[in-house]
Amino acid sequence: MCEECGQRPATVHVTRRVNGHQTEMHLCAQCAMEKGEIGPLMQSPAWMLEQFLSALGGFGPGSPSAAPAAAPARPGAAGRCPACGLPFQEFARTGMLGCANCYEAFRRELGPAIRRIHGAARHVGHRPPDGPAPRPVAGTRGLAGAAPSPGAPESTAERVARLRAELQKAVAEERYEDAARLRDEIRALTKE
Amino acid sequence: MSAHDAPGNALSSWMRGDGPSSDVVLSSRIRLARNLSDVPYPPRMDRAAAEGVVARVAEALRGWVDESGRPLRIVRLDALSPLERQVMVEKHLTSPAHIRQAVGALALSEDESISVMINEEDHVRIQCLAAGLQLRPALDRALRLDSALAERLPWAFDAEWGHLTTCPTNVGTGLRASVMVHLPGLAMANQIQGILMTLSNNGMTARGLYGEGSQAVGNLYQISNAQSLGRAEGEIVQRMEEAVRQLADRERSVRERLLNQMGETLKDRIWRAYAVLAHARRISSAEAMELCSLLRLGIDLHILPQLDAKVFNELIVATRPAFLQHWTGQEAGPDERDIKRAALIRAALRRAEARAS
Ligand SMILES: [Zn+2]
Ligand SMILES: [Zn+2]
Repeated sequence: MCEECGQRPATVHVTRRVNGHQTEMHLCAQCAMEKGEIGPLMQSPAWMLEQFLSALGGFGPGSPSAAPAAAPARPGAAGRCPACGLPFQEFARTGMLGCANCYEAFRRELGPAIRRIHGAARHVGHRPPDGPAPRPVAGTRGLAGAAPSPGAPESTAERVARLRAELQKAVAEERYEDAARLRDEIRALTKE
Repeated sequence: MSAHDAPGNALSSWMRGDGPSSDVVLSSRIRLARNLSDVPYPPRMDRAAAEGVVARVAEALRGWVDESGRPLRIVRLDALSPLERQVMVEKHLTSPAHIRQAVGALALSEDESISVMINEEDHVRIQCLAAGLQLRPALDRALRLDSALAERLPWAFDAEWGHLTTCPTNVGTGLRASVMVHLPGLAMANQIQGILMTLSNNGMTARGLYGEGSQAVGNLYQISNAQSLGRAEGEIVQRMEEAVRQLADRERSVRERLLNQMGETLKDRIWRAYAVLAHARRISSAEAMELCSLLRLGIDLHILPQLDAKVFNELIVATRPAFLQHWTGQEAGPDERDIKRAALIRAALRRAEARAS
């Protein structure tokens, strides 16, 4: 437990030598930052998580100061994920979601916190093949029709054809990182 | 290599001590977190579901081969002894959280540069390791494996938030790119705190590799990207490589300056470190790490011409407690471990000198 506030777990351990005398301090990330012991982003995964939980708006264990005095109860905050049964309160304590559908169930609560820790709200980059439907519910029903029959090995010609289609799609969607990777992959396959 | 050899060898091939910028950057690591959309996440799944995930991922990996044309080998965690599991952690092939799972498995490439953790915090964590500063090649390999798995497994993916991970700190790309750097020069020049601050202002996190919190043992630091959402994988990795290249330049120029300004003092410290490592009969893990750091600096500055960089990586892995215990083949107590560690170090240095002559 943090020696300063006595409320949050101590994740930062500071050792000091003063006149040959060694002292140790065990602080939570927030108190360590306030005391200038660590920089704003010397974040361990634990620290990131602590930030995330406090950004959930007072439902997390951290940061009473960050929460408005009387936060109005929000709809998702008392609820559970209908797919896996995870209570939101438990998530607010552990930071671990229960299934893919939790993101849908708690979308409103998660949105601001995700934006705050990542400084962004939208995924850019690699996607599973087929790309998602405009607004998929990543639920428990599986991904219908996404994968080709599993186990059937793809021939090189099939693979090149599929990659070409993916390449076109990537260019159309202005995903140039992906496009460059696909182009290289096609080159490598057609060179052999 | 059989599954049981993995804990036995001190060095995976990616740790052989070469690669770009290897005088400062020891290794690069890419991790991609993925989950199945139709199974509860590891913290909420029961035993049967966990077994199901292992079976499905193993099946999806069937027929996949790495660049050398070899398949991955599946190792169930419960087929390993607790000590063997700990050694896998010390070799960075898996994580402390993973080996605590009741039902989990690991898929390893023959050269141990690819490891897929099944049922860690996420259902699947693809990890690619490379020597020196090689984040981009490691990323390409990881994405290639991810693409193959994505054709056979329904990844949990959202148009807005990308890959849906167990912890929202990893959503989006699910990417954690890390490099392990050795910064003895910057440490001697008292510049570490400033460097870490600069890195952190640029979206990266840095921590001591083996120490607690911000304390580093052996001047080894791990630098990683802090955010996983909002930038493409290639861009995240490119920014990191640029920052790490600059960091390496700075470390090199500080080393140069130290050598010019306090050459004899520095040489004396390095030769003394070598002397202790070559002759001590008992040595703790912390002292060994500190002296190995000086030894490595001496190798990079050509002060110890009789040694190669490989011996450093060998010593770092080999002096960790569980590996040492595995190597000695018995349950050793701390005192006995210190004696064995000293013997192991002496032997490794003798071997390295034989290699060079
Ligand atoms: Zn505190
Ligand atoms: Zn759920």
